[in-house]
Amino acid sequence: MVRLKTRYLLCEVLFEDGKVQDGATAYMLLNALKDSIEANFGDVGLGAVAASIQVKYFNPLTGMAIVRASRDLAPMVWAAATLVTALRKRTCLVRVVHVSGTIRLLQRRAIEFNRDAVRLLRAHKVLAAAECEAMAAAEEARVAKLDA
Amino acid sequence: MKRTASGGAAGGRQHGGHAASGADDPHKQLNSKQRKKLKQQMGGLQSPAASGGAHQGGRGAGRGESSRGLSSGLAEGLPPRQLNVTQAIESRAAEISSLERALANSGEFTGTQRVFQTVPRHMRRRAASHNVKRLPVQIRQRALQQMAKDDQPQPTKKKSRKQRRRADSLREEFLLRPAQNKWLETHIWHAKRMNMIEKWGYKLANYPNDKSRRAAHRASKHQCVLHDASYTQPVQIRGPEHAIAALLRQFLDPTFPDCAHSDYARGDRRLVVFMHERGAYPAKALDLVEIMWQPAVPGTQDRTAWIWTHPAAHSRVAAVLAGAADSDAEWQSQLAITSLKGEFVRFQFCGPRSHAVLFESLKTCDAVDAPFVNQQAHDVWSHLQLAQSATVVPPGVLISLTVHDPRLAFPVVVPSRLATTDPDEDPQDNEDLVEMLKSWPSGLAAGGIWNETVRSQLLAARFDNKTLQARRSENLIPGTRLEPTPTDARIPVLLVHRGSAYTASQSEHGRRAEIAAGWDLVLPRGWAMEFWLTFVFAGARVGGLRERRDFHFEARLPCFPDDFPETPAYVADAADLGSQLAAKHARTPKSKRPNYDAMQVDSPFEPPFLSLLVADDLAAVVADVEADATSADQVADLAVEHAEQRPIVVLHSPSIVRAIHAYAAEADAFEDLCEALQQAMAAASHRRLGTPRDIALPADAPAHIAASFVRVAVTPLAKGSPTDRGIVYAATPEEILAWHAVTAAGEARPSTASLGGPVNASALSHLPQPALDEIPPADSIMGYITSGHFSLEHGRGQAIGCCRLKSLHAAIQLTKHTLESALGHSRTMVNKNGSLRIIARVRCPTGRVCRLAALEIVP
Repeated sequence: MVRLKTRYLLCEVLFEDGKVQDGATAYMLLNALKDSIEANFGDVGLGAVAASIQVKYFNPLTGMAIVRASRDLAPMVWAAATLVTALRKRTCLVRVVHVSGTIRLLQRRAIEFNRDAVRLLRAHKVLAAAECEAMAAAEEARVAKLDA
Repeated sequence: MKRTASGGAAGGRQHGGHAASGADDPHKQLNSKQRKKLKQQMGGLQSPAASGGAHQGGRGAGRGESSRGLSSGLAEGLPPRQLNVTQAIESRAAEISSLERALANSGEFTGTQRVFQTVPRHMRRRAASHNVKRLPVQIRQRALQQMAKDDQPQPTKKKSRKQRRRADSLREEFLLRPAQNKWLETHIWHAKRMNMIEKWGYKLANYPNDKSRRAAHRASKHQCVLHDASYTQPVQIRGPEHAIAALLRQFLDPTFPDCAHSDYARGDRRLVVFMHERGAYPAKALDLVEIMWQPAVPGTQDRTAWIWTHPAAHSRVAAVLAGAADSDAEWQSQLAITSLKGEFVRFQFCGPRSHAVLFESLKTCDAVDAPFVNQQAHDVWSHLQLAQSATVVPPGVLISLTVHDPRLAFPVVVPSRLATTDPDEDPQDNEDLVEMLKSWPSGLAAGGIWNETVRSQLLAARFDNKTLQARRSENLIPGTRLEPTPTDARIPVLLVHRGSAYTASQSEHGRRAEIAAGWDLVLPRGWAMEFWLTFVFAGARVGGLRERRDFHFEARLPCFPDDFPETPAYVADAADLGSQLAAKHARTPKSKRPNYDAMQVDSPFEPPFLSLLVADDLAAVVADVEADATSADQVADLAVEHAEQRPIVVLHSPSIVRAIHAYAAEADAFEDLCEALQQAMAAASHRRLGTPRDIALPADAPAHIAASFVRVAVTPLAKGSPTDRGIVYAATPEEILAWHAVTAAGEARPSTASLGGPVNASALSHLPQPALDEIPPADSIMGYITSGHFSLEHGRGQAIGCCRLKSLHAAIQLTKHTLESALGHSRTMVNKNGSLRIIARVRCPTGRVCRLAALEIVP
């Protein structure tokens, strides 16, 4: 009757060369995490974590990933994620943005994160103003439709 | 090219396909249930690469590792590419929308949540997942549908015979019991809220589960307290009036008003009187009974009288009455004595608000088609609406009403006392009420409740709650009260006023108390819960036996049977309690319990009234056997034999107590006092109030009077609160003088005026300081306390106990002589109302100090 508690980690994978690879899958990220655990925490660490670690979601275009681990091992997984250096020989950096016990709250945080990213892109004047406004308007309309 | 590829991959293919991204091992085959679970967890959120790839490759090739491998291989082969900002924002936006969709979709309807998880916080119950009844009615259907998908419970084995014979619910079990049972009708309601004890053959409520003693006391003074007293049961005697009266006179205390006096025999009032064994007055008191007569029914010769008895004595009373009726040939043919145990339900109300609660709850029916409707009683009852409390009503009156089923008007709203005065109110109504109270009409007790046919038909006419709900659902506006129809039951009830001359004489303060002068409601069997719920929802607080005892105590009234050592009911209860306390004492280690031997307390668990008589018995026995040279041991044994467990004799008649107050100071010798009392008894029992009833006192009456006790009300002078089973000692002359010196004109307690200022500790130091561990000798014990503790009403301790008349007489004489030798007169030992003041010392069984207290003899 003991409850198995989990932690969900919202991670952002940033690649050094700034490019995106469509073929990158969640499985690749999982392997990278496991390699990092084995390298930093040894066989013991890998054995402890192997049963409970999962990459639930990975979007290579935005670099967002949701990793699931059991509550007690979450710090270890977090450390291992931070120490990941490469994903399939492409240098990358995994940044853990948020940790949550439920996936719902994590999803909410992910939405906020993405909105912040869009604002950031806009703020650095990367796009022309008109194009930017058009995109923002389209996005807001879609969001409003969902809320209604 | 790049664009289309990216567009194709990023295009809205987030939904659909099967989830393969969540699996630990992509080569492991997921079955449909696991896939579905995964999908539901993600709420439709899919990694775009996997879903897109699978969709691309899986169309024709089916699901499986081959397609997956193919898709990942295809996508993997693409080199990393630069994403321009528009595409970046697009992808972010797509992700946002898919996340939002996932959030919106996760919930009950995707199967991630169950309906019992969506219930608001205050309605959540544990174990609602498998017990649908714990959920609100509206969502039970949905919950059942979801439960159907759970693992089905194992098929249960066939029940054993014992299980099959068991009732399905508590209510069913109750209904299957016979009428003569241990549970009152309101048992289940009480059992959920109160601490229950077994007493007198019933399971009764002792006190509520909350810490509400003070609240109950306040409620009894200002609000309404309700108590289920259905354990008191009547014995019915039917026959010619003179035969009933003659039979009863043999048992009842002759110094009380006659049972056939016109006030009572017409059925206007009820009589509270002591019942003794046949011809044994003043000894062998059985019970404190109430006698009610049914008003004479025109056309019949026979009259009906009910004798309401305490449950501990009910069987004995019925037996002795039946035995006496059988002994006389004439009575045998004329009188029919039956026990109506279980036929009635009785509720006691205490508090001024109870009048309003009753008035709003009892909806009288005036229909002429209903038989036995006493229209005069209904009119009187409606006039009584203006009365503020039941205490204004003449004591002991009976009112017979016929009321509608209380469930029709449920729930009743009692108007607030703070509501503004009614402009239509006519001051003439008040005058009418006063006139009515002064000249109370006769014949109000006639009604259907006396008739057993009517009572038995009521049970058949009672419709169940399902019918009631169906009727309520037919209402256009929900919540409308139902109108009574001709087929609905019309319930005859009897309102009994609890006041009596006896109660009024017991206590100055108690005369005005709500507990002494409230309403009792007598209902026919089977209707208890309907009325009970109406009263409770109208605002009545419910009290148990402890509350009842507390209310009597605060009004300085003795409570039956706890303060009546002359009855077998008290003897049984005290023995029971004594054995419980003794067992607890024996279980406790010696260092944690009081050392009663060292404190010279012979019987700390049960007041040993009989031991006070042993000394006399001993002297008598010694006198007898002195002639024969028997050993001291044998003499002691014989004395102890005399003092077997039996009730003592208490002079409880108000007229005898008045005689004691009148003669105790004058009569120098105890024998003179006894003589005077005997004459008073004889005078009271001869030709009283116009009815011939010369009742000869038994031959051993003088001996009983000599060995008798009287009830005393104990008030501490300064500090201290006497406890149950406390010991009352006689005071010394020094203490008597000191008391007199402290109080002006010999008042009972030191007052502000006498001390020239507020009463404080230094002023009270004039009273002799009680010495520690100085225990008076055993032969100065006058009596024991039956109920004693701190009184909320008076803000000090008080107690009720019993003292030996002989010891009290000695104390009175001592006081008289002390005062006369010191002051030259002894006027100050008599109160304004003629009662005597006696000073005594009181000690608790665990106490090391004896404190001074004032005693007052009460009936």
